[in-house]
Amino acid sequence: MAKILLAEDEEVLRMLVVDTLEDEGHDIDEACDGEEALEMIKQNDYDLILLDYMMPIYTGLEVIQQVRNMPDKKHVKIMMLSAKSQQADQQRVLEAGADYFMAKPYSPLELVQRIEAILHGEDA
Amino acid sequence: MEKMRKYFRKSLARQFVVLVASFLVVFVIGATSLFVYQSSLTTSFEQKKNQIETKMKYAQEMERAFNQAFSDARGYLAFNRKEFKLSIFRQQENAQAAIDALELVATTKDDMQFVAKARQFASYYFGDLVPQAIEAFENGNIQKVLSLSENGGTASIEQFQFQMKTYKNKLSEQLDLEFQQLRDAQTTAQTAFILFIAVILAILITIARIMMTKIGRPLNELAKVAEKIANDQQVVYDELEATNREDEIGKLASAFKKMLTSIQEKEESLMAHNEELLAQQDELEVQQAELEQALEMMQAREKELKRHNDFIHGLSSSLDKQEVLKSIVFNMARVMEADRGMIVLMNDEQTHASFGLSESGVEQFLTYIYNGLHQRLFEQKKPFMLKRELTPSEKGYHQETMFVHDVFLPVLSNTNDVQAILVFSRFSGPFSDEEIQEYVGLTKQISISLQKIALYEQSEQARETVQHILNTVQEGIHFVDRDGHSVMVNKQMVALLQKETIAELEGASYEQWARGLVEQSDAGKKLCDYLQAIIFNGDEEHEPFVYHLPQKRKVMQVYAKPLYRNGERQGTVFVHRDITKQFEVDQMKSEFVSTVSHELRTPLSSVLGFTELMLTKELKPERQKKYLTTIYQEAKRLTALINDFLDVQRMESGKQTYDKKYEDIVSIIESVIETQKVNTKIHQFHLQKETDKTTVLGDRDKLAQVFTNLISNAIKYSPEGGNITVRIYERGNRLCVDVQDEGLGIPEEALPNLFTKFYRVDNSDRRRIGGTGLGLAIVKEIVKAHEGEVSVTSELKKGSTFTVSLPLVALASTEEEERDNNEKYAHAHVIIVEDDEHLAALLEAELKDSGFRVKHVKEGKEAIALIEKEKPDAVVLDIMLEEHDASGWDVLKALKQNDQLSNIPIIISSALEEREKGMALGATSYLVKPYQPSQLSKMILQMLLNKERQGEIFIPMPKEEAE
Repeated sequence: MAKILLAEDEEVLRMLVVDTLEDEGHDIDEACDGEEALEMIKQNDYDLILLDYMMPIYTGLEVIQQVRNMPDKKHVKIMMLSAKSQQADQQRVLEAGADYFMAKPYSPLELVQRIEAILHGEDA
Repeated sequence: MEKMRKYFRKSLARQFVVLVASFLVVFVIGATSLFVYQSSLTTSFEQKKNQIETKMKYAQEMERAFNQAFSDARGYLAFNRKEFKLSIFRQQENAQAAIDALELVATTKDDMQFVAKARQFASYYFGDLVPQAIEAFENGNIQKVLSLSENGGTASIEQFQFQMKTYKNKLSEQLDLEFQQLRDAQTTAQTAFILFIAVILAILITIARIMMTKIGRPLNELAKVAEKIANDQQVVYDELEATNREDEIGKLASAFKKMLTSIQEKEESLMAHNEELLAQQDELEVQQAELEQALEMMQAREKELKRHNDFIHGLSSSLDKQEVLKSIVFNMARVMEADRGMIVLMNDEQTHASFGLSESGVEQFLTYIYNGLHQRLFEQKKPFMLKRELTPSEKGYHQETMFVHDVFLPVLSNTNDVQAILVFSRFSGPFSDEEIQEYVGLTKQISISLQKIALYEQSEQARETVQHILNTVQEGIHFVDRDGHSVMVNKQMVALLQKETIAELEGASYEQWARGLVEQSDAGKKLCDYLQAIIFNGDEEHEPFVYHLPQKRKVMQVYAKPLYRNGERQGTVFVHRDITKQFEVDQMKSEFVSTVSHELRTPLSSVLGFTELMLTKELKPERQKKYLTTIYQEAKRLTALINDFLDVQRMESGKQTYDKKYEDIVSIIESVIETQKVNTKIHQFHLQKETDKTTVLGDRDKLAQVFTNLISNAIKYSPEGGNITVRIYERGNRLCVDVQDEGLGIPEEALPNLFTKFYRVDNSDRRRIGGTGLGLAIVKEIVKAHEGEVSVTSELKKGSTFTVSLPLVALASTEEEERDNNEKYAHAHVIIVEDDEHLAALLEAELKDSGFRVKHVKEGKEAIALIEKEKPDAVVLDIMLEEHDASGWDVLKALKQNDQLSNIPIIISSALEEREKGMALGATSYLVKPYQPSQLSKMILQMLLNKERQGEIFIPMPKEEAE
């Protein structure tokens, strides 16, 4: 069981991811925007953070930048979920400090598989 | 010997040397012999004198010795003192020595005798007398002593003493004699010397005489001859003796002779020459006179030229017309020595200048310019002169009759038209033909100058026109030469370069003009490189360069085009375009694409995700239902999104068609509220109707969409519920509808962007509320299409009010009225310009059904003619007409240019989507084919209504009656 944060402004998508991951037995926290996400990251230690790109207040990109500037959060695993799936967008996200990237629309099962792999240190 | 003589004869110098040498030899020999003789005299005298003196000396010594001996002998005998006795003998030795010495020097017989006597006496005295006396004495035989003295002793002593004295006298006599001889000899010598000198002098005089005869005479002869020649007397050269000589004088004489000969010869030639010269001189004098005459002419010409020069200088010193005219009049008056004058250009303004004239005089001349004396000029195109009596007003204080000479000169252009006339008056005298010819020459100069000015004005005007044209262009235009100097700029460019006036940039160097631009640009260095590469390296093809002006919040694009003249590059034209709009549009477009992609992917993610879960997992029924509901909603959302998106696209591109009818806005709003009420339980709806005029011309469905969007937004953005009030009221000539909620409100900074596509207020409260982000954009587009406006006021946390205002259609507010209107305009005359027969027939049928009177034409020119003739109430105009000489655009332009026709409403009916161009050209409305024919008739009716309401003259009925 892993502690995972999901930051996503679309309620239905939150429901989709949360339901899927909870079925796998993970503990999921939810954030609706960038600010909320940052607040929760500061207060908790997550095994994995799932960030939407287009979020109010702070975008996923801005959240990553701020998290990477936190001394104790340099190595927390971050996966970006984005509808901006072009090569350049992906590149920008990874350069900003995200570890993984998944394009929307994504398959929840694929997401679960990917997360399992990451949590078990299999995904490079 | 003969040779020697010849040798000397040849040279005077040699002769002279010989003479002088001989003279010196004689002189030296004479002088030497005299000297030797003199010195020998002296020497022999000295010798003799010494001899005698030596003899005297010894004689004296001898005398002294004897005398001493005598005294000693007496002393001894008297005093008996031994020392005397000794002294006697000592004296004997002395006497003996003196005698010996004297003997040695004895020369004469007398000397010898004296020496012999002395010796005899000495031997007697010292040998006999003294010893005897001493012996006697010592023996005391005084007697004997006495006897001895008496027997001769004393006598012999005295005799000897006398002899000695005589000898001495003889010696001194001898010395005197010698001296006497010497003096005689010297006297002789002196005489000889004087003689010598006389001889020398004689020799010198002789030499001088010889030289005189040898040099002086011939020279004198030559001098005389020369003098004769100088005095031009005849000379016989053979007279010259000297020429026979062989020495220098001879040569000199010969040379002199030759010289004379040559002088005489030359003199002859000189005489001949002289005569020639005299002749030439005469000629020269004649020439000089001619030249002086010519000089006078030249000076006169120079003055004339100077005047002309001043004149031409005046012409060329300025391009200002007035200034040049002034200069012409002034300088012409100077050239002519005229007292007054005037020039008038035969242009519309009658530009003129005068000299010495009163204003009223000028005025009078201008007034009668086409019927004055100078009319001749226009016909003959030749100058003429007049002599007339001065009028009293012109005469000043003079009483007597006076005349003035007026000259009239035409200035002919290169097409031989009179382009200006010159009139000058002179009091001092008439104008000669030559003068007038000269002035005609000057008028040609004036003509050239005037043409130059005209050309300058033309080019100046052309330049100004170009500048104006450039200034009207929105782009900054900058022409830079190959050295980077600014040549031409327009107003926009001046602002861009941060300067005040165009003049500031005239000829500015690259450094001067580029700084302002580079400083304010965000890409200064790159912009610099770009400009420099093109200006200085002459790079031909360059991509346009984009830079930002952060302070002005502008995005500029500059592109460069090289400018060539005769194949040579003159410089570069830079065009700076303000692409802020385009840039923003581009950015928005890419953002839009990105947003659309995001907006579409989000619901798709849900649909796909939940579907996948349902397909792959065993789920409880509640969860299945929940998922299905979500899928359904998301799919609906996706559909709404796509519809909205397509709506917006269609509206923005003007493709949206509106089926406008007279509609009551209240019924639309009521039905919207009914529909929306279902979606909420926490909101209360209020409809306040404050006016009865609620009819608008509009598309019911679209208007319903407007209010649906506004009301659903009001519901969504007031999640806590509250009142939603819709207020309908009249303001000005418009019908306004407020939709007010009590929800979250909109932050002030978000208000300007609220109607932008996909714009969403970035606020987490609002973000939770779903939506396409297109609702308000659609509202705006629809309202715009209904010639309406939408605005918003809002206060955070208190709520927002959206206001839609639409044009009120008061006259057509009831069906009855509508019918009245239809009837009223039923006989309105419409011309359809359309090349497609079928479409034309279709439209014609529709319009006739609506009661209009319709005519149809196919061609542009025909259409214009018909419209001009019939002056219809409206025109339906196709753009793409068959005939190519007049397209729909041409017809439109022609109608709008004609004052009588420009008010006729024109509806463009075209497959081309060039609404903006059509509206810009003055079309009243624009329909894109294909459209419903009914739309056309409605539109025409509405147009006619509007026109009437705006107070325009609309008279269909009288026409009807006329027919």
